[in-house]
Formats: sequence, structure tokens, C-alpha cells
Amino acid sequence: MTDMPSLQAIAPLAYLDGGTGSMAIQMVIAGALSVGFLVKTQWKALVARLQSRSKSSVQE
Amino acid sequence: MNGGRHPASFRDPSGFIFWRDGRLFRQIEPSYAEHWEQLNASGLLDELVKDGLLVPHEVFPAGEGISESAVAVLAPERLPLLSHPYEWSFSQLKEAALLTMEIQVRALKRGWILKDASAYNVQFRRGQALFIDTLSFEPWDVGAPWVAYGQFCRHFLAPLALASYVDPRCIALLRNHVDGIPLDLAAAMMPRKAKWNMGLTMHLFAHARAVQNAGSGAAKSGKMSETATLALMGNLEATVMKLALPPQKTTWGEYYGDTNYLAEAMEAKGRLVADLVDRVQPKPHLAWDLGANDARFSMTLAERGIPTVAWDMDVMAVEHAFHRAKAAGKEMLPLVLDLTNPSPRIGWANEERASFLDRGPADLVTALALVHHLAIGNNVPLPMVAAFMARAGRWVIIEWVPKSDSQVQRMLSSRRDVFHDYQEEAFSAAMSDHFETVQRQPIPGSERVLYLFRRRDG
Repeated sequence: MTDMPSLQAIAPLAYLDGGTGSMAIQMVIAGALSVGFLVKTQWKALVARLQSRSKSSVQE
Repeated sequence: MNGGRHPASFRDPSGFIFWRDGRLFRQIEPSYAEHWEQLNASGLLDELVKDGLLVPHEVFPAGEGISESAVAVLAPERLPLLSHPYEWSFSQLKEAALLTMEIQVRALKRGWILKDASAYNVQFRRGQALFIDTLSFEPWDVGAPWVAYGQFCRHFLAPLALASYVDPRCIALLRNHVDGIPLDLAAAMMPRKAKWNMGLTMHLFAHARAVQNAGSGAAKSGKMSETATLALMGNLEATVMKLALPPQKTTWGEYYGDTNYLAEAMEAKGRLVADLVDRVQPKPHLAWDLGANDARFSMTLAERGIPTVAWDMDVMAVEHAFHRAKAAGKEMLPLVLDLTNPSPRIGWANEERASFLDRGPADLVTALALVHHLAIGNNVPLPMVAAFMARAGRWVIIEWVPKSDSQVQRMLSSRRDVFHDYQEEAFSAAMSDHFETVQRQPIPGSERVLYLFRRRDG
């Protein structure tokens, strides 16, 4: 995350009813998806790191 | 709707829209004051406006509001016409969904989140989706589920999935369901094969079951990590991105490929329409092209700098016209409309969403190769066609198609000809009840005639 300001002091102003079912199922879905998401983002970061390292070694 | 609070702006206590002198303003209320200050300081709004994702606005002092509670007043950039999601084609709704997700992801990166995900928060400008609700943001309470998840799925995912797997006309169901298509209804209409789509299995089928099973019980407390939230948004976006229309043909979508016009006559018609448009004074600020088909004549208007809405009843014609508008980058907005059953006023007190005619009259209406479809295809008497045109526009360009025309003959081939009054003289007389004839121009190479009318009361 970038530039995340400290906003916790301000209470959110949600006016929608998120719905019990929608709130519950999204937590289940998001939890299941987060494993794959984490693997994907870590993999991308690793590839980017390796690429930048190989670029710098070529320049040297 | 020329003064006072907009009838659709009452749900969010953060602020509301009001009209003054024909212009829309947004008043910010005290409950959002602190958020507004933080939101401005965050740079999110500037970023979204700079990248063409959010409507630009001017800030006015609180005194410009319509009540003493005003904290500030915004004047968003004017849009030629506010359209409704049930008037959009598949690609328009999909672009609106993807815009909403892009804004959500950008907001999360800066510590903000969308507190609603209504399709009505999106409009179109020069072929591009544009977010219009500047106050839709609240600080991201990391760990809390997204309160607008259900709304996003009802407003965007369900109609897009139905359009993709069942029929593109299903988007019109949004007209019956002003807060989005109920997920159990959408799930019941979907074919079995849609369950192979993992995104739909989660966000539509499982979601629908969860909503049904939850009933009115209290929400269980729970937390969603930052990673889980980002994973959910990424998957929702990917699910929408993958949805597509099956290749298909429609009668109207290919109308111009199947016309009885010779190429030279069509070219002549194009030139004559352009000449008639140039005679309209003062220059129109808004034109409606009724029965626009692939919007080639709408483009003639838009190329002259006239913001034009290309209305057509065929969703595939509107779909193609939208891609044309997007590629051209002109102020041309294709929308779905059945003239025999135009968009009514809907929502709370029948006032939330304006009807087709509420949004007029347009300065200029064009109705090319349309009158025979209304008068013969739908049995609308010519005086009623003329009265409708007078409500729709101040200037009207109409193409008269005589009964001897092969298209009309084809329409009559399967039915009894009860249209004895369908004569050019009767048409001209019906129009003269409301309009003066400025020009009558036969189209070379055809039996058809173009008329330019000016409404008597201007």
C-alpha cells in the first residue's frame, strides 16, 4: 500500500445496508482468494527483483 | 426538474444534488465535512479527475447551497444527458463496472473505499465511462468487509452475466429493479454451464444462496485482512473482464447492410441531412437521433459539435454504435430505447429516474427511416406520431417513406393493409398541427423525402 494516510480517527459513514449474507459470503470468498493472491503478488515481486538484478549485472 | 433537490438524491446523508437555473450542483452536508477535507488532501480526487475517471467540478462557497447546513457546494461539469443503466448496451455496463472497480482499487491504495457501488454513479462522456458521485468515498476501515459488495453484484455482475449467458436484452431488467437485479433471480435464470465460471460461482451463485439463507439474522462479526480485500477486488474485476457477448446477429443490427438504398442514394441522403442540420438555428446544444441504428447519422451531428444521443431499440445496434462513439471520441451517446414503450419515471414516488420525455425536449430530433416503423409496424396514427415529435424536439428532421417503398411493401406483405391514411399529404397535415415546414427535400435515387420542421412555439 502507498501513501496510506492515518484516517482511523474519522469514523466511516456507511449508509448502505451491506446485507448479512453479502457480508458473510464475501469474507469466505476473500479468505479463499487471498492465498492465491498472496502467492501471485509474491511471485511477481520475486520476478521483478530478479529482473532488476540481472539488468544491473548487465550494466556492470 | 429545474429547481430544488434532485428526487434521486436522498439516500446518502453526506450530501445531495440540487438543480439551479438548469444546472446541477452538489451540496456537502456537515456529516461529511471532515471526510471532505481529508479526501481533498488525499490527492485521490485530483488523480481521478486528471485521468478522466471522475467528473471535474468547481467548488463554490457554502452560501451557494440551498440550505444553511451546506458545508460546501460543488458544480460538476455539465453532461448533455443523464442516462440510466437499463438504457445501456452490454459494453457500456461492462465499462461502467470496470471503471467502478478501477476507482475502488485506486481509492484503496490511498486508504479510501467506495461506500456504494451503484451503476447510477456512472455516466458517459465522449464514449468514455465517467464516475459522477464525488462523495462516494469514505476512509477504508481495514478489516471490515466491503459494504457495497452486494450492490456491485446486483447492479453490475448479475445483469452482465445474464447478458452474456442468456440474452443481452436482460440488462433491461434493471428498469424493474432499481437497486439492481436480485441475485436469486439472476441465479435462477442462468444456464448450468455458467457454474464452470469460478467467478460467477462465487460472486453470483454462492452469493445468492448466502443472501437467501441469511434471512434477517444479525450479521456475524468478522474481519477481512488487507490482502483478502485486495484479492476480492482483483477477482471481481477479473470476473467482469472475462464476461463477453456471444457472437450473434440481429435484424436491426444489420439494417444498413440490408437496406434498399443504393450507395449513391445513401450518400445523397447523408449530404442532405447534413445540409438540413446546418439550417437549424441557433446551433443545437442537444440532438436526439431516434431509431439511430448504427448511429452513422448521429455521427454526422456529433461531428458538427452537437452533443447527440443515438436512441435505438436494438441492443446490438447500440452495442456497435457505442464502439463507434468510443473510437471517434465524439460527444455521441448511444442508448437503448423502445419508442413504443419509452423509459418511464421510476423509483421512489415515480420521481427518482427521469423518463425519456422528461429529459427533453431536445433542440433537434432526427427520425430517419423511422416513421413507417411507428405508423405501420406499430399502428401508431400519424397525428400521434406528430404530437410525440412535438414533445420530443424543437426542430425535427424526418424522412418520409412512402407506401410504394420496398421496405414498406415488405412490412405489409404479411398483414392486411389497414393504413389508408398513410399518405404524404396526411403526414404533412399532421405535422403542421405542431410545426411549420422549413424545407421539403426529395432524396435523389429513391422515393423518399426529407423534411425539416420547426416547432411553432419554438
